[in-house]
Amino acid sequence: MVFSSIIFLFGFLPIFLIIYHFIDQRYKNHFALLSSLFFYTWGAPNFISIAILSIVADFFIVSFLSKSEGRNRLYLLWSSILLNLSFLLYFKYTNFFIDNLNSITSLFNGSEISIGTILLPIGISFYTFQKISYSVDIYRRIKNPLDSIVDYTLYILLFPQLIAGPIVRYNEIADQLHNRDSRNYDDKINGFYRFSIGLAKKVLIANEFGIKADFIFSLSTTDLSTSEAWIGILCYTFQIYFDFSGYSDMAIGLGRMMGFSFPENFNSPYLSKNISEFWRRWHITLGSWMRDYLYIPLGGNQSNKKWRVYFNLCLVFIISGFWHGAAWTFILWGAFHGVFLIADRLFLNQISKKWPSWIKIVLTFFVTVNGWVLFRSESLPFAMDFYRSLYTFNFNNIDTYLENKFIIITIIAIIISFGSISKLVSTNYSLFLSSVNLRVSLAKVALSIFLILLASAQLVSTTFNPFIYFRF
Amino acid sequence: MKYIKKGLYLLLILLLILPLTQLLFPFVELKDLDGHFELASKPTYDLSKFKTGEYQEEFESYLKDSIGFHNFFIRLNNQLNYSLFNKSNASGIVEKNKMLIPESYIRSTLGLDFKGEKKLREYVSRIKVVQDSLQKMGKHFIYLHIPGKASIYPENIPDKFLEKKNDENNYNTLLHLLTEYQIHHIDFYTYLLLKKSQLESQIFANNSVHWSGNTVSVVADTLTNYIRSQFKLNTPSIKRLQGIKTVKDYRYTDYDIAKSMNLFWNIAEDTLYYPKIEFISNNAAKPSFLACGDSFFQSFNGFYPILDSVFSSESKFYYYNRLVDWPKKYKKVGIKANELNIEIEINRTDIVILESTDENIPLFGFGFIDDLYNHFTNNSITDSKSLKKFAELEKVKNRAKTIHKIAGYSYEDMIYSIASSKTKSISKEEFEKLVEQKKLSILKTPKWVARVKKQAIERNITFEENLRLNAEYSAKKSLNL
Repeated sequence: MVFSSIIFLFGFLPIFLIIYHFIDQRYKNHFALLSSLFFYTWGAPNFISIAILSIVADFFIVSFLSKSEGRNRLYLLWSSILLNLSFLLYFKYTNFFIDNLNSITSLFNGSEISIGTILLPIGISFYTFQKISYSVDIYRRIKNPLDSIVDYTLYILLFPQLIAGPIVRYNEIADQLHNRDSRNYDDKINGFYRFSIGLAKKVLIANEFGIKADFIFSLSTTDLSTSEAWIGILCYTFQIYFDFSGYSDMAIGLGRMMGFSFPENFNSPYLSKNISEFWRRWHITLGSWMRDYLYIPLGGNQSNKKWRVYFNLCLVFIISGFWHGAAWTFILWGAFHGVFLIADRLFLNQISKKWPSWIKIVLTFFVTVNGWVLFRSESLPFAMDFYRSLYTFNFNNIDTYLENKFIIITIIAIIISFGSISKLVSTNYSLFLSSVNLRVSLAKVALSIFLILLASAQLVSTTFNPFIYFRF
Repeated sequence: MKYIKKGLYLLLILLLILPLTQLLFPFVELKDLDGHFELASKPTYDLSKFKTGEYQEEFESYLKDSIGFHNFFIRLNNQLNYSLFNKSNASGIVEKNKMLIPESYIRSTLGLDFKGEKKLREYVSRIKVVQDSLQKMGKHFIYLHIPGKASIYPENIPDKFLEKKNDENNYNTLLHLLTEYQIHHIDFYTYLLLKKSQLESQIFANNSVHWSGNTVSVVADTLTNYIRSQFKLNTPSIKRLQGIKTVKDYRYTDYDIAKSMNLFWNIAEDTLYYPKIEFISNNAAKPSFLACGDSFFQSFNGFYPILDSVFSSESKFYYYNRLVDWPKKYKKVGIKANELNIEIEINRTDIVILESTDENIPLFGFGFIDDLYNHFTNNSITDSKSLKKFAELEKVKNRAKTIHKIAGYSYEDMIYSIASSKTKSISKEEFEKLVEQKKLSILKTPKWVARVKKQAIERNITFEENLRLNAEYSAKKSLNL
C-alpha cells in the first residue's frame, strides 16, 4: 500500500486516524502496531513472517546484550548485526553475487549456478538499518532497551516510516515510544499539512517528470539526441527529488499526527555548494546513519593517515551506493560521489573558496545530475551510451516534450528546489511551518484541502504512480 | 483556540472519510461521465490471490474506480488540465486554433494509413462487380465518401504531424479509382469544400468529431437530389427553411468530443445554425435502401428524421456491418447484420449504399462489399454439415422466433439465416491460397510425396491431380469444413 493511493488516502488513513484519535492512550501503541502489521501484510503478505521472526530474535538478543557485560556484550552485538545483515544480504544481494559469479565462471567455461529469483521484501533496507541502530545504541548505552516487544515491533514496523524511511535511529525515538503527546492539535494540523505537501510533491510534480523520464529512458540510446537525453536526465533529477522528499514529507507528517517527531530527510539538496554539502542535505538520515554507525567506527576523520580517511570515505559511499540497489550502476554511483567528496577535501573546496555561491551551486547541480545517470540506468553499458548521448551535441527539435503542463510544472519545481536560496523565502517559510498562530493554522488547513483535492483528482484519473525508493 | 483547532483537524479527517462514506452510503447524486470507459469490478477474496498480491492489486483498482466522488474527481482533473494547461483528456484528440480534431483523421488526411494502390484497386474492382450485378437486377449502387474533420480543416492540423506527411492518401487514390471504374459516388469532400463559404455555419463544430447538423441538412438534400436524378427514384424532397442560431443548445453530435472530455463547464462557444426542414412528399412509394457505414450515416437520422421521412421503412442501415442500427425496431432487439439473409435483403432493396469516411477506407467496406461480392460471384464455401447442426439448435430456433416477424422473414428462412451467420465459410480465393500452401507443405515432406505418388498410381490419375486432391482434403480438414 503506497501513501499516494486511493486505498491509503481514503480508506486506511482516515479509519486509522479516527480510531487512533479516540482510543485510550494506553492502547495507542497496540493499535498503531496492529495497523502497521496490516499495512505491511497488505503489501508483502509473504514477508511479514520473516520480518516478525527477525524482530523477535533481535529483541531477545538485544535484551540479553543489555544485561551482559564484557566480551559477551560484543558477541551479542555482532550476533544481532550479523542476523540483520544476513537477511539483507540474502534477500537483496544473493542474485547479484550469483550473476557475477556466473559471469566469471563462464569465462572459464564453468557451470552456471541457478537458484531462481529471490524477491526483495519491501522496506528491508530501511528497517535493517533501524534494527542495527537499536542494537548499537543499546550496546553504546546511549539508551535503555525497550521492555515491551510491542514497542520494539512498533519502532521497526511503524507504518509511516516502514517502507522508505526516514531512517529513524533508536535514540531519536526511544522516549517517544512510550511518552509522547498525541493530543496536540497544532502537531496534528502541522502534520496533516506536511502530509498534503508531500502528497502534492509526489502526485502533482514527481509523477509528471516520471512519465517523461521513463519515456526517454525507454528509448534506444542510438536514437537519443543530446537535447532529449538532457530532458530525460533533468526530468529524473526532479522526479527523484520530489518523489523521495515527498514521501519523507508524508512520513514525517503522518508521524506528527500520531505524536512522533521523525528526523528531517531533505534540506533543499540542489542548493548545495559542493558534494559534501549535498550529502548533508540529501537523504540526511541515511548520511548520518552511515556516519555514526559505519564511518566513525571505521576511524572516521580521526586517523593520522590521510589515505585512510579517504579510503574510509570512499568505502562508505560505495556501501551507500550498494545499499540503494544490487547493481554495478549503484556501486559506481556511490563511488562517483565518494570521488567528489575526496576531491572536495583535497582541492575543490580550496579552489572554489572565492567563487560566487551561484557558480558553486550550478556546478554541484551539474555533478549531481551526471551522477543520476548511473543511478537511473539499468546497466553500465546503457549508462555509458546515455553519457555519450548527453555529450555528442546532436541537438534536435524537442517541441513534442514541451507541453504547457510540463513547462508550468518545471517552473514550479525549479522554484521549490531553488527558491530557498533567498533568505527571505526560507526564513518566512520556516516561520510559517512552525507557527501555531490560528490564522496560520487556518491557512494550512485551507492549503491542505486544496492540495488533497488536486492530488486526489490526479490519482483517480491516472495510473502512473510509482515510488522510486520502494525498490531499495 | 484549542477547540477551533480541534474542529479544524476533525474537518480534515472528515474530508478524508467522505469518499468512503459516499461509496458505502451514497448521499450526493453525481452526474454520470460521458464516453466509453471500463471500471474495475470488486474482486472476490481468495487467500491464494492474497498471498501473491493479486487480490490487493484488483481491490485497489476497484476502489480507485468506485470511490465516492469518483466522477467529481475525474471532472476536476479534466477541468484543471484543460483550463490551466490547455490539455484535453480525451484520448487521441489534438487541438489547434481552438478546434479539437481526432488524431486518426489527421493520419488519414496525411496519408499515414495509406493502403497502397494495389489493395485499393482490388477493393474498387470488387465494388464494380457488385454495382454491375445490382444493375442487372435493376437495382442501384452508390458510394458516399464523407470527409473527416482534418481534411476539411488542414490548417488546424498541429505542426508536429505535418513533418510525417505522405504524398498519397487513401481518399485521393480511391476517388481516382471510383471514377476510373465508373462507380456511382458522391464525393462530399469536394462538394463541401466548394460549399464551405456559402454555409450558414461551420461544416464541423469546433468540439465535435462529426459534421454539424446544418451540414447534414445540406448533404441530405444533395443525396436525395442525386437519387432522384441519377436513379430516377421518387424520394420526397427536402426543403431547408429559416432556422435558429445557437451558442449553447447544440444538437446530437455537435458537442461530442467536448462532452467526452467530462468537464464541469462547457468549452468554446461555437455559433451553430440549425435550419428547419420540411419533407415534401408526392405520395409516391418511397425507395428502400440497404446501407452500410459508420457513425456519419447515423447523423442522417440524428439531427433530422431524414431516413424516416425520405426512405421506405423496409430500408436497413448496417453499422460497421455489425448491427442493424436503423430502423429502430431492429436495434431494439439487437439484430446483427449477419443474421439477415443477404439475398433476401438485396431483393427487397432499391439502392445499396456504402458510406465511409477517410478514416474507415482501410476497412475496405467493413466486410459488406466482400459479402456482396461473394454472394454475386457464388464465391464462398460453406460447411453444410455445420449449417444443419446449427439450424437444429434450440438457441437458434428461439432467436428466430423472436426476430423473424420484425425482419419480415418466414420462420424457416430466419432459422437458416441465423444458422448461416454461425457457420464457418471461406471465400474461394482464400481457400485457393490455403490449398496452394498445403501443396507446398506436401512437396516439402518426402514421405508424403511418396504416398501421394503411390496413391496417384492406384487412383490412375496424374501426380499433379492427386497432389491437388490431397491439398484440398488437408485444407478442408484444417478449416473443419
